[in-house]
Amino acid sequence: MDTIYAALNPLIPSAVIIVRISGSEASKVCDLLDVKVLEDRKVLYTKYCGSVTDDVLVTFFKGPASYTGEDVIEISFHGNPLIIQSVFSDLEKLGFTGAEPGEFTKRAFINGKIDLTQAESVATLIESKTKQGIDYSYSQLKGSMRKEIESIKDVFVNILTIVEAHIDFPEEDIEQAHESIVFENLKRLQTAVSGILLSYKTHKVLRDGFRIAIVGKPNTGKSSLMNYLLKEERAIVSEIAGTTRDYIESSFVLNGVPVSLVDTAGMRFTDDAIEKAGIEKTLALIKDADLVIALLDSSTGLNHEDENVLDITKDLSRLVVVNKSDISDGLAYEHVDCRISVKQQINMDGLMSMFADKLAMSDYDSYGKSIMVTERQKRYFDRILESINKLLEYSEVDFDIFEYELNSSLRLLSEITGLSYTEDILSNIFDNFCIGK
Amino acid sequence: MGTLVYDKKYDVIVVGAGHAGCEAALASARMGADTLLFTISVESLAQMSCNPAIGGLAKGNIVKDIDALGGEMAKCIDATGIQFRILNMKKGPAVRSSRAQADKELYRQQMLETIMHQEKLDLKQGVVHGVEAKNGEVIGIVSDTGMLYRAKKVILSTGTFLKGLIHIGDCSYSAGRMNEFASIELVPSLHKLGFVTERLKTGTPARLDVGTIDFSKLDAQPGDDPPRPFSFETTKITLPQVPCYITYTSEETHEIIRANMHRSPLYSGVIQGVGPRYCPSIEDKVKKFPEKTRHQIFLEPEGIKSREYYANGFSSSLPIDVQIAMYRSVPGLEKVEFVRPAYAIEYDFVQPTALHPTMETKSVKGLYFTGQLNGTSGYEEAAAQGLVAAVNAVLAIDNKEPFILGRDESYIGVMCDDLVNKGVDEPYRMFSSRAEYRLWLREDNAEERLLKKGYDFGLISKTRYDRFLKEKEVFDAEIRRLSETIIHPNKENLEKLQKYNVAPRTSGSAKEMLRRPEISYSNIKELFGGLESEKLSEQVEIFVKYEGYLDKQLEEIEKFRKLENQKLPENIVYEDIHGLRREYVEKLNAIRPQTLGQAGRIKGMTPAAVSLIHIHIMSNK
Repeated sequence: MDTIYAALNPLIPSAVIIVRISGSEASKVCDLLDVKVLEDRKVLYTKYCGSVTDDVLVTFFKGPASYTGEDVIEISFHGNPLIIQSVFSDLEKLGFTGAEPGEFTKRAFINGKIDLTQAESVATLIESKTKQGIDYSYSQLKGSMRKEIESIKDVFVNILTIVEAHIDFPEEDIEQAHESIVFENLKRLQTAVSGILLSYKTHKVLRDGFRIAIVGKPNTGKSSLMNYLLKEERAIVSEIAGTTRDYIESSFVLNGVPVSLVDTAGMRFTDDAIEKAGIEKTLALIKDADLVIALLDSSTGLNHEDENVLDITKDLSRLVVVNKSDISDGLAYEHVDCRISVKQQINMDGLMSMFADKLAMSDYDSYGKSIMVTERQKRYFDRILESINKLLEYSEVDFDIFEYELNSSLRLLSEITGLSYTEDILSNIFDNFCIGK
Repeated sequence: MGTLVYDKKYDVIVVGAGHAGCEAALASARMGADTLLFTISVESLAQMSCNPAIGGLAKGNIVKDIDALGGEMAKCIDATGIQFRILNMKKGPAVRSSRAQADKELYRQQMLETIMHQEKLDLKQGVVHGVEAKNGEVIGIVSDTGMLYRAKKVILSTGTFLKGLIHIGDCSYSAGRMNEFASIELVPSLHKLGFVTERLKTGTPARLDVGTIDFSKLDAQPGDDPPRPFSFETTKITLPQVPCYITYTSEETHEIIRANMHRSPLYSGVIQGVGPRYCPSIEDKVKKFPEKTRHQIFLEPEGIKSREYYANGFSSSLPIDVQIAMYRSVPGLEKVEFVRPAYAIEYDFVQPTALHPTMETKSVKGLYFTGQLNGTSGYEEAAAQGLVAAVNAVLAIDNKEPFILGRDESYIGVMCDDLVNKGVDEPYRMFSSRAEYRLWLREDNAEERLLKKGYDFGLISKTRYDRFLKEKEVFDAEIRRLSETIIHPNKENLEKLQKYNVAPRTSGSAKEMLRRPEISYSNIKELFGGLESEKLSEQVEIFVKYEGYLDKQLEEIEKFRKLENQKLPENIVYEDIHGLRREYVEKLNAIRPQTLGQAGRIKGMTPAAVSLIHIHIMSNK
């Protein structure tokens, strides 16, 4: 097994450049130092006497209590790249090899110092561009995801313990009162996993912002509303229906969170090929949005085009907003969330506060407590939540299917961190139930 | 030693005629190898040393798999079973398991008869004193008469006989089973070959005189009617069927045990061996679960004519006076007389990490270990290992690829893989929770999973294999018919379906209809026709109802096989793998896994380490 080395900061003239050495042979570097033995976790001021001479600070971490789990020695040199180049060739002569990018972390992972989620966080910690990002990455590095997964895993194991005991020991008089415990625990899991997925959404929002799509029949004032929100003339506003053929996207900031606004094509049902394409695009856009504004026109009343709009948005997170309330307030539709006039600026503040409510921006205030979820992890949690929901849906389910869904979820969890859990479950059965002939 | 040499040279010698040894000897002879089976006592061949039952959760699956591979256990219990039950019948097809009470004596006779009639198989009584090896390869065994019997392969299935030590209270004596010789001399012989032995412990309850049990105070537990056989070949169970009985310990029982706990060799430290957690002695149960006011005891008949009952759940190593007092504190047993007392037994075993998944030892070529010698427990587990070892022994003689069942193919594969990769720290018993792919490893599809293999080994007759292929055709045709039969929501169909509370609004296939939880295959059959065969009907129903889940499971199996099919070169040098820590190198060198998947299952191995090996073998291709 090679002993590896690398400089921890860029090789540019600077005050100090630190070289890290990791591996079982690391102590051989003493040959180049004015010192015989290094003491664990002590900083030593000494002289480097290789092909160059320098006063250095040396820190020794004896494995496995080190970053990589191996013997690690860090030497601070004066920050001249030429010194470091010479040091590198001295280290090569000792039989050390240059570390690949990320190799120290890789070794930490291989040696069981950190799990997969922690290894992932090292990269994000270094690359984070915002302070929140750094905070999350750091807490992940400290194992926040691992702890979260451990606690979710424990609940799964508790449920499986009961299910497996009933499968494997049908002859034993195990108390039958476990059904409610199983369902309570499933509920807890649902909350926990939903929480993680919400965290993912929080972070995605902080990175990408929200998307609001405006949809409505032609000439209801979609572009005017958008322009109002953007406070600049970006979309074309015209009196001829169907002008905004495609869609227009722009951003503004609401309560400190970036919101991107999509003005969709007018929902006119027509044979016009261009408009048809526009309508299909609209359907895709509104599905993607965090919030849809279904805009109705007070002056025209409710017609079949509006009904179409209301129909395609009915299962989405939406606000039904009636514009031009200055002209007429007679639109007969019972589920209106908000009546406004963009032109006369009536009730625009009310609309803005509804945005904030509907996007549940207050939920994101608590992001400080949440954990960072990567795209990869999110995919696993989605599937786990799907399993949990399925189990909660079944009123009567066979034990084999129950077992299958639970074990699939456990396998997915272990794929996130990389472990296997069946032995735990068996041990748990023996600890909790009196089993045996 | 070895001055006397027996003139006949065998292909395979099996030492020990318990459940492992019998399967091994039969499989070996049936595959055409000249086979010799050694037993300490012919009278106790295929003895059920503990409970008079075959099967149970996950174990039942093993028996079905043994049958599909051409083994004997299922047929033997079908011929001698006196109560058959399917456990977990209402909990879903993948967790169903068969169990049967055996007439112990008939079981022994039946197996003995099969063995005596088997061509190419010799049975001899004697104690084996040593395994002889030359240049790391086995050459035969030496018996107590000083005779060397030569063989190309030797299979040891010594059960609890290796340095067996029985405990009843503070009495202890050397024995393989109650009143049978222990095998003492074989142990130093194994040590000489480099094997390290460790101790395990197991126990068995008292056998009770039927005339002294008050059955009026007990709940009877009858078997299924009609009884369903284990073997796919058995058409009918012929023996009369009898019930078991259930009773419970009382607070008084627990008081007696607590007052005498200090006299148990388990707690006084006399017994060194580790016992199974799933089969604790009654004193263990009372100590571990003080809040439980009673423990369940099953009284199982040892046979139709036998006058003894087995007290399942009541094993103990307490002194005889305490045993009698605590048994008599149980309702129905107030006046009970023991025919044989309960006892604990310690015996030697070898960590199965010393084996390849073929059950061949890594250090001595041609030597195979099976059953309790490998730290397992249970007749079914033992029988399966005997079968695996024998098939591999004969395949090796014929220079053929080894027979290794995957974790995705059978519970037998799960067991062998667990044993060789993880070793044991208590007697290993199969549990369904040990298996990853339970929806696939069902009892009902054992033939589909394994029959082809049994046929290829020559253990399954052509008649049986053809019968299976024909059934498969019928099955496939029925599935096709169900998908092609469209049920329209017309008046006639709606009327028919009304009594099942089903009112489809759109047309759909009969297969889709069968997926509904409220519809069974017998309903479909009644309305739209179907198969007569009960066995095939069951398989069709399970297949249709579970198709979605099965597809997902088979996908997982596919994923699993990718690593499983990555063979590790025999000459791989783990020290050469860049970045692989010494700790892992040592583990890998100790186990010498055959595939990448197996490497990943070694105790303490990390996925990261496995990925390093993966990269290494890919880059060296």
